[in-house]
Amino acid sequence: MTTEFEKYVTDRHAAVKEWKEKTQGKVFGYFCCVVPDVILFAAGVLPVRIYGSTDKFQKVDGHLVPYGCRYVGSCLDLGARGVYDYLDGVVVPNTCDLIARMEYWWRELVPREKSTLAGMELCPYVVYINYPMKTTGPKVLDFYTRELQYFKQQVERGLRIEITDEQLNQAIAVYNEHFDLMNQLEELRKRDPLPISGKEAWEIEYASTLMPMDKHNELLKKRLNEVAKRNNTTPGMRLYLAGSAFDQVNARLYEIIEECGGQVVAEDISCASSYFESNIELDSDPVRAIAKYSLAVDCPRSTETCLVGCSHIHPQNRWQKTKQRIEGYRVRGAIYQIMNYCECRAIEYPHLRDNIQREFNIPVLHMEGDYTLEGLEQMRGSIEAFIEMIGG
Amino acid sequence: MITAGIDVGTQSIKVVVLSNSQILAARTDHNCSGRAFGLEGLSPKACSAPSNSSHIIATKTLVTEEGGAVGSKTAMEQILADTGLSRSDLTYIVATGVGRSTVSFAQKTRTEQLSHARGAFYLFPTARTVLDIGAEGTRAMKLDEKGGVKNFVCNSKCAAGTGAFLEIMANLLQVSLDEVGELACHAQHIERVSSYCTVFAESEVISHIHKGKSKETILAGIIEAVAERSFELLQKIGIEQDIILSGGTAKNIGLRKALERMAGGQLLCPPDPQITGALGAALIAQDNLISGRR
Amino acid sequence: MTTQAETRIKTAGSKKSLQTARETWLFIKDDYINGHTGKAQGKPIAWSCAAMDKELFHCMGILPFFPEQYAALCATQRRGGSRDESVEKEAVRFARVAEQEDYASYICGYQRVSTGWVIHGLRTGEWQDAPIGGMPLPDMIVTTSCVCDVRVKWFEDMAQRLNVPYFCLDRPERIFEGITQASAREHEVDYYVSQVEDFLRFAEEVTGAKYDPARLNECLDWSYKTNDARQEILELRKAVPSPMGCADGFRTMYPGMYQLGTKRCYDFYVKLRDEVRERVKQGIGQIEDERFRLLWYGLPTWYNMSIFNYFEKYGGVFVYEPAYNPWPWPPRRREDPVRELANRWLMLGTGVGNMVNSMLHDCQQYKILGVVLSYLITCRPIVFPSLEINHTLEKSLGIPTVTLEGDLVDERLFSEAQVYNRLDAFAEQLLQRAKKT
Repeated sequence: MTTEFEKYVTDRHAAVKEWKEKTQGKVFGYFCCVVPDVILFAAGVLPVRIYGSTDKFQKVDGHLVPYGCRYVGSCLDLGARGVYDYLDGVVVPNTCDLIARMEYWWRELVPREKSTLAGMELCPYVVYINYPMKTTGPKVLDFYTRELQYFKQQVERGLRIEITDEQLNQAIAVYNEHFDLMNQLEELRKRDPLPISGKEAWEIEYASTLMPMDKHNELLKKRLNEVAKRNNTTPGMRLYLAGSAFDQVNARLYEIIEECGGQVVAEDISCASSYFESNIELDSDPVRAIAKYSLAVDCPRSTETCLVGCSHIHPQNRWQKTKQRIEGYRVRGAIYQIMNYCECRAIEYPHLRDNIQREFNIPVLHMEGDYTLEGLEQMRGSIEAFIEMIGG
Repeated sequence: MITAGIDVGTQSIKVVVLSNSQILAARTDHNCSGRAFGLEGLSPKACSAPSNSSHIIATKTLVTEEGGAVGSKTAMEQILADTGLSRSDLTYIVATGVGRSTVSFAQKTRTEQLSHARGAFYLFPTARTVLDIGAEGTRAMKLDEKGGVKNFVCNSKCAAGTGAFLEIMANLLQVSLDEVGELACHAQHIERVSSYCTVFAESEVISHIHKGKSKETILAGIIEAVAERSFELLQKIGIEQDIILSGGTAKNIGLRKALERMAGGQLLCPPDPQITGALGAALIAQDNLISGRR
Repeated sequence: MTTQAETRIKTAGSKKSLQTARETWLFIKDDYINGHTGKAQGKPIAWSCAAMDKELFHCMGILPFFPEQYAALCATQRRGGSRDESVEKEAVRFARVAEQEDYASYICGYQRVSTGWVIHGLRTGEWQDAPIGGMPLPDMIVTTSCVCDVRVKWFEDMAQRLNVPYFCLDRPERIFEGITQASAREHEVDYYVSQVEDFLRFAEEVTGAKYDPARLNECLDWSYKTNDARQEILELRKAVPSPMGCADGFRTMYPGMYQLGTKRCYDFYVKLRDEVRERVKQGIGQIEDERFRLLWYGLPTWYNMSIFNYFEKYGGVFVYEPAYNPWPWPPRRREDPVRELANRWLMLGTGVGNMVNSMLHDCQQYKILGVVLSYLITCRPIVFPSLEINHTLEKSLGIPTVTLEGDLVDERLFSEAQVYNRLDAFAEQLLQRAKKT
């Protein structure tokens, strides 16, 4: 039986279109988990994360250079082919060198009718968020709050509505509930025997990026009750998984790991974990509260200033976050699947690897992904050998 | 207790039959070329002293057009016939290699990493680093003092630096794979060939041919490229003596010499490096029986 | 037997037309000598990157060095200064060190080489076993978020390895093309101003020196005069025959890129301007019989600068390279030098559309017949607009392009056979076009 969550994995476009048909609502697509989709939710819009597919490129090869991220290329190709035509808006954040340029390419390759007045687009379709590289510091929050106010204004102009503080606060409450529920799920994954597979946990998180959050919360509450009561165990060597862009293509890796005798119990992937690690703290200015939360979403691209020598552990830095994600999960090995050309993750990897080995005394496997199912299948041998090596 | 290990590779199927750590027989079948030979009576001491290595008890040409499933059955039947054993005499069979999942009669499968490491450690108890340059991939394993694998790395997806790379280049130069190493050793200098991309390398080789460069110097360049990529894996894993060279490509004398030069020391090589994986699989079968893990 | 001439092709230096270009090496060497001496005397050393405001270092008495420049230097040198062509350039040696540590081979060549040298130094203590004795070790590492994400993570990583204070000057770069982007928005300027102020506080803390706005103004006075001189040079380079090519351009960019804000830098460009002016006056070109003019888009293959002379045998010359060249700045605002820096950077749009438009403009200004798109596979932000440039130049101006694949500093990723085959075909194509025009 296909669950409500699985529906989004199998055919997300159909599921979203079904929602749109039923509610006559608007849908905005967005790249990256730092995008404050809570603002879109407050506007009554369904925010959906843009993902790729295994389809061969049909439209973008003449525009995107090779030796670039295939995941982002795939997203753009789907857009250019009209697969994402149900989107009423697209939000592009400055969260990596290629994604930032989707603002240009989405405009160029996914043409929409534009109406302008004195050079200003009356109904913006592609909306850019200049997400700062630094996420802490005296004026970062001020800057980013203004940036999000600007973003909100563009959404309001595009939808011809006003997004009130009350609506924002209501939306914040729904999202905070979601984060809380997801954290409960993560607690369940600490259990041994394990009541839920990595794949199932991923599906739940993935679906939350494609469906209305309040609906997801309702379904998640029921699922959590059911999972908490499970007696059957989910076997497999407990593993930590990290890497880029774990959408439904890369998520095949969860299954391969399972087939090789492993089980993912914790992860740092661009679809999950970082997104719900903190709450949106209520503030008299809800946009500022959302900005603060969005800055706290852990992203490999973000950086911090270190005034004294850098060997000290800065509270925001990536190693601290990684350590928090692994602790308590009784993990026996870590697998990094870093997509080709995902430079931020590639550069931080040796540092994280050394720290994981030192802190947890577990081996780390590093594989380079190319966003194809064939590529993932080729990893099977290494994953099997890794699990065998640990003692599976 | 008699066990068997079967290594289903891209180009050949190797089988070793083992009795209480004495190799009873080993067989290598080539899927396409069909050349087969067997080995008998190998003991660890004999293997570590190349001059006292195995002697061939039979050579056979076996042509198989089918893949691992049929080929592995055929290879097993042949080796049973060689040894006079029957299938029921084999207590446990472990399959390894890229086609291991096609061996329906194996009780267990094990990856090449563990199998080659186990086989190399049996033959050379001082082994701490194992480099397996196979047809389809290259891998380096780091062992502890008990022969357990501590860490491993594999080549990235590209064929550059693998046995397949050598074969493509050998075909371009119209020499057989067996001749590559010897010819390269006669080169007075090296014509550099890209080690990073097979397509790049092919165009460079063609360019060298058109410029009238000798086969020897071009082959020396090709071998240098493969050695470089393999050496990079060794460096990633951290070189610790003794280093064992495993896999069919280890028979390439030119490649061995290039790697020894880069590593700054001798590389140990089994007399028949091709069977190391199958040997390791047979040993793992024994280990499982002894430990009661099936 | 391979001839000497043939073996040199992949990794040879360029032939320069200008005397000032040949003297740039002395400028660089002086910087390193001063840096090592300064370090020994206790002067603060910063490692930074091209897109950083150098005046901020000079006004604080900090000596800046640049890992990316050092990586480029390593790409031109062999170990111990060897001339043996079979020995790989030092850049490859250090890149291998980084790759052994599992830094992916698709990461920026600058990062791999400089990080590899740092790892080598930390492991062996042999920092001087490197070209020009290595860089003086830093007291701080300062980067900016401008241009690419790599420079931030790379510098952060190096700072962690070296255990020195680290600062990122976050510049809200205008990559996007959206409708109101004729100029920077107020909150972007405010943010960048706050970043600069933050950096100055950081620098005060690390060095113990005090920031003096008068001193920053002094440095900016030199920068603006330098920029004026460089703008003149760019104008002069439009002349036919081309008085100064890309080989000269890439060599002479060093002072302006890395020592901007000093009198020494200004004097260098005055000298260069005067030399180019004289050549234009006398009608002296890079070669005698100039038949077609080329533009080089992107960064150079530092290990093989001879490529900039490659077309000369066909009568072709590289006349202009957009990379590393300055843009005209707005007038000086001495009353607020920090805000002036913000405006100077944020007036630039660096998105794909902006890059394409710049190329259209440059090709017309420099009378370009063909463009070489330097597709350096580990330097993505520069390369992203390549296909758009290719389409637009062809469609709007009928200008053909050819792609050249390689790396900034890693010669292993450069295939002579492939590249020169393409360039030869391109030359033939351009000769035919040249006959028609």
